[in-house]
Amino acid sequence: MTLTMVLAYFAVTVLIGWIARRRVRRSTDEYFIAGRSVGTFANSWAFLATMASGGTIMASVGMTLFLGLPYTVSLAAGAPVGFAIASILVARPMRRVGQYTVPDFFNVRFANPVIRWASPIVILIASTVYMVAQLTGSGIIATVLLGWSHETGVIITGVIFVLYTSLGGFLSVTWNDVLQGILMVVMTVAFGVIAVFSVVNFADTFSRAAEQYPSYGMMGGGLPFWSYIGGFVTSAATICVLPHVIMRVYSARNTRSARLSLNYAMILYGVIVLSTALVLAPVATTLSNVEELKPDAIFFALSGNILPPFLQGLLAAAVLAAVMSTTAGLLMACNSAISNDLYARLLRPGASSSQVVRVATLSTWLVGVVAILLALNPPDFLVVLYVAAVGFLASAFFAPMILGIWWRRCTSRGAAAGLLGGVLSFAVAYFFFELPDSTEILIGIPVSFAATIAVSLTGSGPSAEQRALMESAHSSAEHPSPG
Amino acid sequence: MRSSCYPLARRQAFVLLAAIGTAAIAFLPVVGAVQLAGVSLTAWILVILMIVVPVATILVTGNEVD
Repeated sequence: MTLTMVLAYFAVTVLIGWIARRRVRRSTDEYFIAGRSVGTFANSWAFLATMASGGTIMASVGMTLFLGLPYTVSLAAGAPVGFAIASILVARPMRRVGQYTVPDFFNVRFANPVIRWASPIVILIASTVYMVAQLTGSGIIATVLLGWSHETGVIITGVIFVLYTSLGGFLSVTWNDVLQGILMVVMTVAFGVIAVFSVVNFADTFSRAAEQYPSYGMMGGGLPFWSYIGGFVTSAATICVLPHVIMRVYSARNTRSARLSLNYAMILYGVIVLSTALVLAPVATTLSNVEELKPDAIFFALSGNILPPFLQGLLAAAVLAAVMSTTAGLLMACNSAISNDLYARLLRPGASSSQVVRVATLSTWLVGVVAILLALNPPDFLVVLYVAAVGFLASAFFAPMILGIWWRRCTSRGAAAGLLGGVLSFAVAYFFFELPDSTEILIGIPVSFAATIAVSLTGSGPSAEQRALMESAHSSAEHPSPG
Repeated sequence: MRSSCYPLARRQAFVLLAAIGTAAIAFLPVVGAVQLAGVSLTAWILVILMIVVPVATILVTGNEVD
């Protein structure tokens, strides 16, 4: 039954990609941002599906038990603050500048050769690592639920999402994301409700879990103090620079819709996280062999214990949906970085729309295959890999993005210094120092801010053209509505 | 004299500062040491933050002219 449900789900996703293909074949606007026509309802679910990864649903039960509820909510609570930053500080100015991607925005705001090359490369590296974490999740699902080998699971799910992304571009990803977002919320909530009624008294189960697993409730139980702050800052700083999230800001029908979608998605995201961390994790302690299981396998061990086969199949489809929607969004970010930012802008400026779309399709397959190959050797905690990838991205982009939008004095050279300073300091901290998990970003972002500000202040200020661009992006913000 | 930063609506600045400030308080070691129902107060404050911040952001950006 589980296999049938999963195969049916795969068929639907590819069918959606095939239908979307007709609309996007020859237009880069349709292929990369779905013609800027996605409404608030669809965009909210799509934002959610993009944000809620396999880790959000599947890994967070084991992570909450062994690394603690405070760490899970530190990661998760950074997200609404990040969404608030994206809604208030980023969404409108970026829409007004009117470009497809983060490198597009940097290009018109800074017009700097270092940034022009470095930003798509940073996106490629971070997105590929992020994808590896997601694909590893699909291998775990295949092993635990379908009886496939890890390798088979990674390859089959990898090929499916690469197929529907390459067929229908961002429109296909968006339609699939809506389906996947709804599936995720409905199934997680249903699983949570069934879990509550599967125990005699949920309040007692919760208290017993906190007693038997002190790491579940306490700060510092499983991780050093700075890891909690690092996890929070990573989520908060990452939302507004994640390329697959920013693409959704552009694909929205208008700025108001983009802003509303961001916040509705955040409420739905909270429902998923709180269902897994506050309900499923304590109920999972009633499993007799929970200590022997790998952290990322606890979620399905619990579902096997309390759900009928039909719902287990739907739940597997929901987790695969979480994996595939995030990965498809990342793939779009990668193919856009290669075809739009590197090929069309730097390598072949006169390329036609159909050539750019063809390069995007090819690069989707290329990046997808590389991520699949890298995912064949899984790490212990998916979340740690995910945090490293997004921390790298935020260290590179957050300071140049925020200062570039809000600080009049920010220059191109300053932004380039901030981007490189953030990347290099994060990499040095990650590879050469034994720091607590998730804390490298606490070095990367301050270094990036300091470098952007210091170098901007040494030059002659931004060009008249750059100043005019940002004045127009903020023109109505000069006169905010009263109250 | 013109500010070196572009202006931000007061209510929006308040929501951002309140969210960041609340998180900073939640992470104070003295707050983390307090436990309610076996769970650190830090976690409960962050759970509340997850619910309140999106609603507050919708309220302060809903009337903004595009």
